[in-house]
Formats: sequence, C-alpha cells, structure tokens
Amino acid sequence: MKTKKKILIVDDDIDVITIIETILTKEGYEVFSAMSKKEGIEKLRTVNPDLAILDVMMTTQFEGFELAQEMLNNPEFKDIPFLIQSSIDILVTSKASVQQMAREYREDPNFKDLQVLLIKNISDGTAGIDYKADNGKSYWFPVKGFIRKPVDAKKIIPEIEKFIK
Amino acid sequence: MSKLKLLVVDDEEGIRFGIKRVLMNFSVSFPFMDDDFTFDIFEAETGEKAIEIIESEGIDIMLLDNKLPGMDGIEVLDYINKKEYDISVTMITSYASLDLAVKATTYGAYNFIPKPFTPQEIKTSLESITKNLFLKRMTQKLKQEDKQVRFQFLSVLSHELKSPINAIEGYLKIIQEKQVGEKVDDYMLMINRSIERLKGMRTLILDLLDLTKMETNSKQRRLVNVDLMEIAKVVIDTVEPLAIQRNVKIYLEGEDDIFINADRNEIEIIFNNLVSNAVKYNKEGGKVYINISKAKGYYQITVEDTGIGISEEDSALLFHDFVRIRNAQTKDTTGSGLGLSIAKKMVEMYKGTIDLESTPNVGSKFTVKIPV
Repeated sequence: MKTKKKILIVDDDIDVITIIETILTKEGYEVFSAMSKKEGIEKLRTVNPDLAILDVMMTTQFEGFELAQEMLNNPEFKDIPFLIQSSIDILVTSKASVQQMAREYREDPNFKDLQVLLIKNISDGTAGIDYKADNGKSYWFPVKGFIRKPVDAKKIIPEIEKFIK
Repeated sequence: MSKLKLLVVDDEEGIRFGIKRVLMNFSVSFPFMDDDFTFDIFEAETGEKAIEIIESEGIDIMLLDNKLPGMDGIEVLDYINKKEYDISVTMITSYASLDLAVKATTYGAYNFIPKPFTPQEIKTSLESITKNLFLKRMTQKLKQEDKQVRFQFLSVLSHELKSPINAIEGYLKIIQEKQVGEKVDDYMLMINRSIERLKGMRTLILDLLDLTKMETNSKQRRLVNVDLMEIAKVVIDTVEPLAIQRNVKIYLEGEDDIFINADRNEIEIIFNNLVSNAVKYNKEGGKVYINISKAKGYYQITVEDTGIGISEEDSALLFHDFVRIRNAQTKDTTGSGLGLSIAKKMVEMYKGTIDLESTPNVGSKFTVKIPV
C-alpha cells in the first residue's frame, strides 16, 4: 500500500484545523496540526510533511509570515512547499515578475499604505507576499499559493494537488 | 539637550551678529520638557537666501525681518505657508505698525518683536516660541500615536470578527456537501462548535458595546448604593449554567451590608468578567471562591479559582485589549479577549486596582481593591 501524504496545518483556530482536517482526511491525507510558529517548527521537524498550510495572524500579527520565511531560509525545511491561508484579497497580475509587480503596487497611492499585499501571477501561478512588519521594515518572500478563507473542499483540494501528486 | 535650527533673516549684518551673540550660550527649559533646547543658528541676508536654507536645512524657528532687498518678509512667510513647512516665525522689523503685525499673523507668524530690541526681548520671545513649538509637536505626536492605536485595535477587531465567521462557514460547507456521511449525528461536533463560536461572537459584540460606551463616556452612569454581596449572588446566578455544565462549584463568602457608591451595571460587569473567567478556565470539577470584605480605606473583592493558571510571561499581557492566552488548555474555550481589559478599565474608573497572582496548573487569584 502506498504511504499516505502528510500535511501540516498551522493555525491558532481549533475550528479551522478541524475543518481542514476533516476535508483532507477524507481525501486520504494524513493531517497534523500546530497552533503557533514554535509548535509549527517542532512539527515540521518531527513530521517532515509533504506540504504545510499556514495561517497568518496567530498570537502575533504576522506569525505565519515569520514561519514561512523561516522555512525558506532553513535548509532543513526549504524543500517543503507551503500555502498561505488568508482572508485578504489577492491581487492578480500577468506580469512576468510578481516581485516587480509588488513594487509597482507600492507606488500606487491606493495600495502603498496597505500592510500586506498578496500577489499572484495568473498565467504561471508564481506568487509572493510583500508586507510591512511592526518594526517598519518591508519584507518580500515567494509562496507556492494562497487559500482564501473561508476554506472549503472545492478550494483547498485543487490547490494542494498542484504540489502533491 | 535638544537642538533647534534657528534662522535669522535680516539684511543688516549688525542685527544678525547681535542676535547670534545674545543666543550663543542661551538655552530654553521648562519643567514639563524632558530636555533643554539650544539653538543652531543660521543666517540669511535676503528672502531668497532664507528659502534656500529652509529647503536645505529644515528650519524650526525663524526670526524674520520684513524689509528685505528682494522679496520681503511677508512674501517669505507666504511661501512657507504654501509649502506647508512647519516653522515658527517671529517677525522683526523697525516699521512696526499694527497693519503689518496683523498681516504677518494672518500669514501664520507666531509673534512680533519691534526693532530696536533688547537682548532680553529676544530671549523672552524665543522662550515663548520654543514652548509653543514643543507643545505643538507633542500634540501632533500624541495624535499620531492615538491614530496608530486605533488602527491596530480595528485591525485586530476585524480579525476577531472574521475568525468565527470563517469557522462557521467552513463547518456549514462540510455539512452542505455531506463530507462525512448522511446522518445529522455525524456532524454534531461541528454544529456544537458553530453554536459555541456564535456565542463567542455575541459576547464580543456586547463587550465591544461596553467598551465603546465607556470610552465615549456616553453611558449614563447612575451612582447609587450598591450591595456587593447581592451583586455577587446575581452574577453567580448568571454564571451557574456554565458552572454546572463544567461541574465547577462556586463559593461565596463575605460580610453582609458592604455598600459601595457605584453604578450597579459596572460593578456587575466587573464581577461577571472575573467569575465567568474563573469558571471557563477552571478544570472539570474545580472550585471558585469569591470573597468580599472591607478593609481600612478600601473594599476588596477576590475571585480565586483552581484552574489552569497563567504563566508569568502571559499574565503581563492579560489585561490588554484582545489578548487571549492561546495554548493547548485554552484552545476550545471561546472569548472576546476584551473581558479583563474592560474589567480593568472599569475598576480604574473607581480609582481602584486589579491584581493577579497565578500558578500554572494550580489556579489564579484576582484581587480588586476599590477605595472607599
């Protein structure tokens, strides 16, 4: 028998965990969960999941973003794809570089004061996040994709199947 | 020691030199300022040169002569206004007339010194302008900070409102798609959790109303003699259903006839927030002890539980808006994160204090002291 693919959910809301867990377990995935960045890192290490789903605002405002960046920068985790779960609108573009697009949005008076920009290229699926942290610094990092809240099976399964075959 | 950039604009070299000498070792201090102010002095002999310095240096205060060779003082003032530079201007001129003074102040000059002036006049004028500038900047800073706090509050609030909606909508979609079977019973956990989240949302909205009323002072406060024991009994009655559900016993102890001059509703909110927390964060089969007493000069209310307790690190944050301690023990408990912050604000309205002693896994004790 084929071993089940493992998915880690990091979210501070127990009900969101239950919802995603219900949907994914039914699809045949093995689901693990963590409720903070710290616990998330521990589980990444012990579970070594095939994919992670990260919430943004946990105990601190950008906890999920910090975890994402830690995953990107840590050789241990850098090959684990992750999706960001958020209820913020996603800006779409067809420009080749999403980071370039983020820069252009930052010059637009309608967008420059937003704390968070989620940007996705509709043609090739590349995506990234530009956000201003509490310390005033701006950060940019690439992501595999977004899951728009509220979560349901139709939204989440195709997004996951892109990365887990 | 803080430095302010002072620009002296006068076509007479003697005047510029005189002012410079007077202010060389001069500093301004007031008891309400943290710092003394001294001055970095810049000079310009024409209006055009003044503008150049303003644009390159960023000037705080300007002593401005009106009669200048090219553009005159009023024109310089007009330019500063148009560009919205934050500069406090004092006009100096030998042609002091009421007409010019009025004109200068309508253009935003702070005050006016007639020539010839004594060193003391320059100093007095600078003292007053520095004080004005300090207060103006302080007010701006406070307004900015206030905006920042409001913005943060709103962003957390919108998150707190969206979270239960997302959870309930997620559950409803699972039920709609019959993800885990055909029977209603298969979904009972999800239905119960949805109801729990709706309750949490209702509490949040009610708490928010309390908070808004309190902050805008629009709440009609009715100060009467309130019987603390009686309020405690009413609150225990309200919390009882939850306590029975969790098998928690509540004990009330205290002296009868302790009356406090207060708004009944507010005292009820304080009690209610503390007692319902003591039940919510208790262990199955736990206990809550409420004690009411009157000591020298103050009333004391303690609410003690045998619950999960709070770590020292977390308790520092506990009374802030929207702070909920999230861990494995609290993950199923819903709350607005406003209850204790409201209780604290209300206790402070009576010039009282609220303190916490807690040991993780043993329990917490909240002590409210309200002066007589």
